[in-house]
Amino acid sequence: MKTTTENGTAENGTTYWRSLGQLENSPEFQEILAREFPEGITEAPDDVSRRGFLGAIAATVALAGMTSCRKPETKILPFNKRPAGYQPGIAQQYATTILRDGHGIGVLVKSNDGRPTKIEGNPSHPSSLGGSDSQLQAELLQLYDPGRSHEASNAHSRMHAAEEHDGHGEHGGHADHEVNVWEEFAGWLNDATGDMMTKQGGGVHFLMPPSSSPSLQAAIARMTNGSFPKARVHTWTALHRDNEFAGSQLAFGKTVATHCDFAKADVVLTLDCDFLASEGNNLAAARAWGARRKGANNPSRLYAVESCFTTTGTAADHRFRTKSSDIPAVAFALANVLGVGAGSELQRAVSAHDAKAFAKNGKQWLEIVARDLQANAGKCAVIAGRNQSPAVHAIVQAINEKLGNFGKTVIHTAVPAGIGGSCVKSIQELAAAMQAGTVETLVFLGSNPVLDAPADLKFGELLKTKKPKTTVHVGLYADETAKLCDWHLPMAHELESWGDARAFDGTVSLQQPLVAPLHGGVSALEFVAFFGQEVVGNASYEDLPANRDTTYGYELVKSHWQQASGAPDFDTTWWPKALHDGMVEGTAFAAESVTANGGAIAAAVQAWKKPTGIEVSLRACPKMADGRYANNSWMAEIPDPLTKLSWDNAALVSMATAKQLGVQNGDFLTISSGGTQLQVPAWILPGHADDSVTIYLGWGRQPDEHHMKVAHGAGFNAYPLRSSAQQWVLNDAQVSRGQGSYKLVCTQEHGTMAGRALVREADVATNKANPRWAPKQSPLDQAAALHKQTEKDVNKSLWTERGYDLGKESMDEAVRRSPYQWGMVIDLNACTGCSACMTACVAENNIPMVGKIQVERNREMFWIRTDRYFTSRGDNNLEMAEDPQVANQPVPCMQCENAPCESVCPVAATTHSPDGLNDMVYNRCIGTRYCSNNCPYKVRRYNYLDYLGTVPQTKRMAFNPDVTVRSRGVMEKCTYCVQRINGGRIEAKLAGKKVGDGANDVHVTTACAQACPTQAITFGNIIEANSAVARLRGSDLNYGLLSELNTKPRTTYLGRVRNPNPELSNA
Amino acid sequence: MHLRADVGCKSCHGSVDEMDIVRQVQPLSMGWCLECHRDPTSHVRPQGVSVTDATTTEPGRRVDRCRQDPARWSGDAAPHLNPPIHCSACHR
Repeated sequence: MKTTTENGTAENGTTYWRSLGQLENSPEFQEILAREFPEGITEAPDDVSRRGFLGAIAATVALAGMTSCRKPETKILPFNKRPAGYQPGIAQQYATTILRDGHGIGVLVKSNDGRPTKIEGNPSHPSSLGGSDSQLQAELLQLYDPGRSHEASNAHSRMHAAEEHDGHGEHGGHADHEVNVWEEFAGWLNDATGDMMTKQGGGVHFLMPPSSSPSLQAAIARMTNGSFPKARVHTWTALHRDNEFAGSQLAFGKTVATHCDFAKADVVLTLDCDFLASEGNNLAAARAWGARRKGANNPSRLYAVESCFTTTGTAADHRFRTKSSDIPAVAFALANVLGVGAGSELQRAVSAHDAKAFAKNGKQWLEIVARDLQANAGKCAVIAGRNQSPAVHAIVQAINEKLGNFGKTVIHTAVPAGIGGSCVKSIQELAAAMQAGTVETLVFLGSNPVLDAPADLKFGELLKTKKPKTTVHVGLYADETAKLCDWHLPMAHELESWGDARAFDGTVSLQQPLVAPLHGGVSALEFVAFFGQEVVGNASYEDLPANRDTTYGYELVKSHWQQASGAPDFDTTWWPKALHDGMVEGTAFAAESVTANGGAIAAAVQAWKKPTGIEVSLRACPKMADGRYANNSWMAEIPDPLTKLSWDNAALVSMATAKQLGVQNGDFLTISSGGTQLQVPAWILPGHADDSVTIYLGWGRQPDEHHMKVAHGAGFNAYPLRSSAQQWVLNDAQVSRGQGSYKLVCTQEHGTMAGRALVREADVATNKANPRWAPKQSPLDQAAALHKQTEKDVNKSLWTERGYDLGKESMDEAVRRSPYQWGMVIDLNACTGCSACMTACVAENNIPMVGKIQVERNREMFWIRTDRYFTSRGDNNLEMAEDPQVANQPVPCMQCENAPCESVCPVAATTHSPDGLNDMVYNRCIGTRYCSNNCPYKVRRYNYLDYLGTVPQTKRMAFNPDVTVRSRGVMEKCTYCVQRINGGRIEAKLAGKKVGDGANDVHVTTACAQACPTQAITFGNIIEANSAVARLRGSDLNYGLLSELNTKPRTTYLGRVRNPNPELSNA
Repeated sequence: MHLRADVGCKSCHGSVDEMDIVRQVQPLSMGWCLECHRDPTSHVRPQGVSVTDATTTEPGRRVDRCRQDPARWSGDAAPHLNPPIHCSACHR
């Protein structure tokens, strides 16, 4: 009996497919399947013929000569005297804070000999709880990005640079002509301050992203309360929360932050909110949600209503796809069904919209959901996304109040100072002041409005035509805005600066630098204090121009907290403890009690009109955010969690909409709105709402290609479509088929494993009736039943096995003596497919990024990949495929006990260790690739080119010194982070302890498991009966991938149990 | 790690106290490492002799006296004298 057909249809009638090509069984897909490797993979690299390539190799060998066949020799310089308290080679960890959307996320940063090399979540910080995501991991590469601004510049220095470039600057020597922009800037500020003070700061404007940093807000207050009372500080970020705060104003008459407790909520409904990945306090939300889903014990139920498939949508038990601009109707209809504001104006307002609510079966769907929410009143939560209007946010508050969730699953707290304002209003005011010509000095402090300001403000033009007298740009990059400013000063990265922030719940988090600013940048706090010419403690603003490695930032933060904390033992206790922990416990905001005002909401609801026609939805990119990671190659190359596109974004559409527009994947769409016309290639995303086009923001930047090499030419910029009035959803856009097409590169068909029960899913009822459903889907189990034998008999090996998991019973002495047998369990119940594990693995294991052309040839080097399968009912039913569910499955090396790769290696470069690891020895590998051919999981990656040899020097500083840097011609794969295992073993041996999960043990975990925000990955010693991983391996849900091949995988999975509403499953 | 296993400093670094100019005396090759890892009891210092003791002569690095105390030094009873010989012990 077969579990699945060749096309991947499981016996329950569900089809698992990775792409539409597979579902349609297109000739192209058949070819990919037959070829095993995509076209070009065995051919020579770019623009080099085979003969030329061999010539190049010969030259390399000749150059290398006798000294070394792979690496040139370099000289090292040891310390003359060792600094006190410092042990070379021993990594240290520091707690600090990284800001996102103005809020602080606590992190622990590993520092090797003064060089930060890895970022992890801080387990005690409430906004991280030890988890991290792709963007947090990628902050490390951001620090070392060679494209960052290296020097301050002004008109004088730029002219000088241009002269040098033209070859006029040669006489007289380089140093004599050096322009010290910092000194010049300090001179300008000294001269200008008198004038600014006379005007009380009138005409001085700042533009910066919202920040909760208490010391920065205090510095701003000192400036505006002191000598510059008329100075204005505007806030702008493209990913603002204006709608949420406006909704809170509507509902409660004040701005409060709303927090959902997903650990307590049994039923959750999200309205276009990707709360598990790209919105709000996503790490804490993912941890709480994951805890409810892991092991399928008492799982919560998640409903998602959204237009574009998001990470949260893949996690949902039921997903309803509809246009983003129709979601207000869903919210109003839900309020109506639940009887929100019964008998009042509000009820009349929501019922007026009810009839227009849905197409197709939406109304019935919603009534069932409403019943489920009602049945779980006080134990459920409804949440709205930042792209939904204030009216939706307000009505969602009213719904949660009606359901009795306030104070239980939905908590309200204050919003930290500096965050709660309207960004759109703020930047509009700035633009108006510039139009009126009242702006004299304009400072962009970490903002890039020329890229991301609302298009109707035409910021770029304003800076040229209505240019204020002086413009200053302080930023990480010499970006689009910097080019149009009089002054540009490099900004320090958060790992280079002193600072602080408040976590989403208000907890004070401290930021300490891991390195001195690499390119002499200043932090926002330092700049504001410098601008105000402040003197703090021993440090003065005058020190800053000469030397940016001063104690200025330190003194600013410390003096603020000395005053703010009021602690008598500040120097001896409060401050050292806060720095050590990275946070101050007990500083979270208290919950506030609020009551929704029905009348105000009713007016907003009445004002809503259902838009018609096709919509264009602009969303934050899960990788690029608002474009801040545009030059980060990790973020560019790691495939998008849903589309699996690498190095590009696209206009995402549903199958029906694509058909209607007459486009296929890669064909250009012409999108025009408000006089702007864009050409963006289409990409069909099954499960996307019809009549809707989604474009992720943050791509397609056109900065200076010499500096921002990664960003240049990657993706398509959607900001020109984004106006002040239509920030997230455009209803007036014209969309039509454009001219030509574009090559989009997608990894979704790489490593296809067609037709086998790889991802195993069931619902709660099945799980209850037959708890061992997951292992029973194995063909082996079925064969055993057929022959009336046990699984073990059927899967008997022809030779005696070493029996790694037998411990003391093993036939092999080395295995018998090993106290450890490593294993990993991945709980598919908690995996959201967010790909944090992939980025963490890249950071830990020095994995190279290979570029778009190489990715197209299936040469990406990720040691762990996240497979995404669409599932729909019916065999090859395209109509059902429009509304699929998604199953995610991270696939690292399985570390098979009977590893097929080992038996085919002609040089024994891959062998087994007594603790059950499938070792890979790079310097033995001769690159036959037999191992990869014989690997049923396709997890081995081959260095076709010398990818790491071309990495710029600054980026090399991000390398983990504990992991070998691989060269061309070498196979590599997941090692279970063997450097961490060995580090832990040595530490344990020295301390007379053991590696394990106990309180007195040395803890070892892999990078992927450590990063996972939902803790879906568990790593440990499988022969220690009490270890977490051993208990999970004993779970009824545990199954091995392709274990019928008798590979005995060490990495196993827990089958995913969905928790569908029985009423809806039958509907 | 090696110090804890009672391997003398001299075993790898040579008699530094007698060198005018510090030089490498052992090949430090993989085969040389494995020679010791495969037969550890022949290469560790006797009980009571400090690893830093430069006066101890170690002809051919072999000090057999540790074998006199089999309870401490052999088999499963001595997990701390179980040097790994698999690849990933060193190649990471």
